[in-house]
Amino acid sequence: MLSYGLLVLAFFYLPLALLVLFSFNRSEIGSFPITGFSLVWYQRLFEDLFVQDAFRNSLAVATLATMIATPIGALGAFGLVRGRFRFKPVFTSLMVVPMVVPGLLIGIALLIVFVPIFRVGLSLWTAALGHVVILTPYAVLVVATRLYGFDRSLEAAAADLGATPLRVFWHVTLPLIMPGILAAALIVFTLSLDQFGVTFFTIGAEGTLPMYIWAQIEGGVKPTINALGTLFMAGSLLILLVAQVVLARRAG
Amino acid sequence: MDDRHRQHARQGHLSRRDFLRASAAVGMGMATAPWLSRLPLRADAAPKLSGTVDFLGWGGHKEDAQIKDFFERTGVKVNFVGFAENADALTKVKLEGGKKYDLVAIDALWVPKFNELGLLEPIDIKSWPIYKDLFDEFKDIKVWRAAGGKTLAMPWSWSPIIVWYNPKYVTGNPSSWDVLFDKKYQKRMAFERQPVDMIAYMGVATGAKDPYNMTKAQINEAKEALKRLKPNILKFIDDTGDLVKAFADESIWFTLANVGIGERVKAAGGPPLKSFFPKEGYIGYYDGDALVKGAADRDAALAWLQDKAQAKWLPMNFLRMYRPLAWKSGYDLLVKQGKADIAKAMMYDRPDLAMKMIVKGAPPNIGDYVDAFNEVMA
Amino acid sequence: MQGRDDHARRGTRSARTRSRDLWYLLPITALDLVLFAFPMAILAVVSFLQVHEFELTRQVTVKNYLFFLGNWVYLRVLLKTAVIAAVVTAVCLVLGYPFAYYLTQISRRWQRTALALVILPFWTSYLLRVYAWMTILGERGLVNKGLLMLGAIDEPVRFLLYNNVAVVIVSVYLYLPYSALALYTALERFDRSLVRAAMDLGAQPIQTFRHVVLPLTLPGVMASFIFVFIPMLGEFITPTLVGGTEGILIVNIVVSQLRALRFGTGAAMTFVIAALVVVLLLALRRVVNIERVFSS
Repeated sequence: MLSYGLLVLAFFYLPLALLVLFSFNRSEIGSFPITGFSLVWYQRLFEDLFVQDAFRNSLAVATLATMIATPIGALGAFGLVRGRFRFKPVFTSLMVVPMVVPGLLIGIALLIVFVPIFRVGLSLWTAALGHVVILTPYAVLVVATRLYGFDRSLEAAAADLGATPLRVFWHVTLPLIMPGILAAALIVFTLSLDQFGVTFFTIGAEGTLPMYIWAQIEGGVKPTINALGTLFMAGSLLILLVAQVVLARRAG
Repeated sequence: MDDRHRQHARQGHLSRRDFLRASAAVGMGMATAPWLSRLPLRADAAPKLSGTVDFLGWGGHKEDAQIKDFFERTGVKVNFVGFAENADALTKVKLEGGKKYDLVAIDALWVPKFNELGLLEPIDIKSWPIYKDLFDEFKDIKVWRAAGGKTLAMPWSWSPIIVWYNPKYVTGNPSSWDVLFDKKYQKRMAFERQPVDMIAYMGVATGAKDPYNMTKAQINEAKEALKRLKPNILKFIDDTGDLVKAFADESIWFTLANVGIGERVKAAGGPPLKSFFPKEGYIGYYDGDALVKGAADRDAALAWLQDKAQAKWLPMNFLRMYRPLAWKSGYDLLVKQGKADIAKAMMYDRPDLAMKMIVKGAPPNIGDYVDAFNEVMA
Repeated sequence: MQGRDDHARRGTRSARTRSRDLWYLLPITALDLVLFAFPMAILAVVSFLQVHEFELTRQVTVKNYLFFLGNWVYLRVLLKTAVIAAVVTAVCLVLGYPFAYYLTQISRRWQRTALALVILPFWTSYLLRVYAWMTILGERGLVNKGLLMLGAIDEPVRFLLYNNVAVVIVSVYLYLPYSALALYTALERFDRSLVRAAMDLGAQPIQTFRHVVLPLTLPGVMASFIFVFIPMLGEFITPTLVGGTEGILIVNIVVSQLRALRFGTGAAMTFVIAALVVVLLLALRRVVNIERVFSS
């Protein structure tokens, strides 16, 4: 059983291991054979003006998407968990639909609205809006999870002690669900960084990292993208670790 | 006119800058804020020319050294966006025009098609100092003429598209399209992802005289040919660099490509290739870079074009792609550098041939071509 | 439980709470209406419009649908896409079930580590994960290198890349973590004493599995379906990069329509697929609660 578990994990990590391996391989084709250790692809990567632009654009889009999707999602989670109304199950399902409908299809629909119908130029803004549509459900679900495990007697106690609803929310509810909101923000941010489908059809001339990578893959892979992928991985790992520590401290 | 352009450019810029600024502002609390706020400052500092030239070009034809040099001298970045097919480029420019792209590389008879749809702004190439560097044949391409002595595109390169094969596996000195349909070569071919051109090639192979203006019946015949070809196709690629790689590792033995592939495969450490002009006929291209109407960074784009065609860059470009250019200055420089043999082998000294080929163009019934291709591949 | 008691106790307050709680839903409803429902509606409208010389016209037509639904060639691709998606889902379930079950058997601490390890690859570029497979399955790739070295083959095998097999392998790789997580959530919640009870009552292992384990883990299976089958209907990158000439899926056709500026047919195809997805989701809603699945 253990060996099966490890085998599955190996399957998950084999391509990633190769990515790291090739990023340090001197060969020009970014693939086998292994011809020797080299940092040249990292050097090229750092010299590439467009990687820096793409990186900055990615951060900007992800930041904006996170800033919009997280509060909307958190509020939505409140409504869903606390609200009691007819058709709630249907409503819930509809709310998560954008998360499950393939991003490319949503991107196509947005493209048709943005470009031939309303003649809005595609840009980082439109891409960020696309991200908001599909990532908000994630924020809803993450915050909702936290709310389900929420002990409402604390709010009731505060209210009984004479706190106004707003004060209850600010001093009791918000601090308690903050880890959930932070986790939601983090998930939205990281998912946005790697969002391809919806971006593909909604972005302008300025690309994000996945668009840069796609251009590289489509236009004859250069080994620099292996280096980029490795850094991407390292960065995500770092964010996750930091988040783990921060969230653990908050929750504790 | 000029003012409008400039205003347009400024607007394009503002929105871009606004975006970064806005997201920087909302993200101020986050650790990423310092990163985000850096860009606008730098853009402000740029002197005369400014902006980013968005260049829609053939996949893999990005000239990094040239782009870097231009940026260091002028502060203008050239953002290269690759595409694989004229129809794809047309779609992209039609959809977004100058808001997104400043320049677009287009093949021969596709240029008038772009113009018909109102997508291009003619350029006054005759007033440029580099104009005299063109071969005479390219100085005034008839189908590219525009009002006021202007031209629709700056000529760049040309080549016939011929059959390339690896003689280690393919014997008998083939000379006809027929060899491509031989069942022996299952999954041993790769082609550029160009649906319209694939149907046109198949048209030539089945005897059509005007491959970009075929009747329904001719298209059907071409489609049947493509069906027969399909088992032999390993994949379609978006950049000729992938053809070079696939030849080099011998995963493919055939392709259709310009005259330079053989040398490029050799340079990549691959096997020696052979090629032939199919006896039934072949298709060729000459291409150019055109200015997109309403280009947000028009001035910078024109400056880049003139910089790109400077003689000093041409040998480098030729020795990377090994197909002839429209610029005589490049040929002269190659001769001076003692590279006349290779230049001649690639017909760099024969621009007259460029004007005698059946060249790539937009069929009036593009849809039928695309459907024929899709129906075979689906 | 406690919450419900609470509510009963303060019945007077709950009316006000109820209306306030509905306001919370306003922003997300607005968002979904403006940026999801509205574009989908526009898509539906455009799918009935004719395109002439690369421009949308106001001419209403059903030709866009006939083009897609009336052409066996394209319908076959849709069908094939569903089949490939089903195969990928099935493989993910078969591989994921024992893995998920195994996870529930190990200690809490190891579970958490293992889960983190399953999730981590998601946080690497999706495109690069697909691309990396080309260096594994290719003619000069890792698999062929290994087999050659072991002497199992004399020359590289070529059936691993640029075909349907490659599409399935890479898709399984991409989606297995989703299905493993969904199954883990179901199995983890599931009370093992029920199995013991069934066995005590004399049920055979197979009977126990069929009548106790399977029904109880069915939500996990259904959730895998949602997170594997449905996204597979929209997969574009994998068939484009590793599918070669035979591995085309339906979205490749959609994209080729858009690349020829045929918004009408592109919209019709997109709309048919999106409608299919929504119908599937609503049908599955009865069986599985998406929020619960995700809360793992």
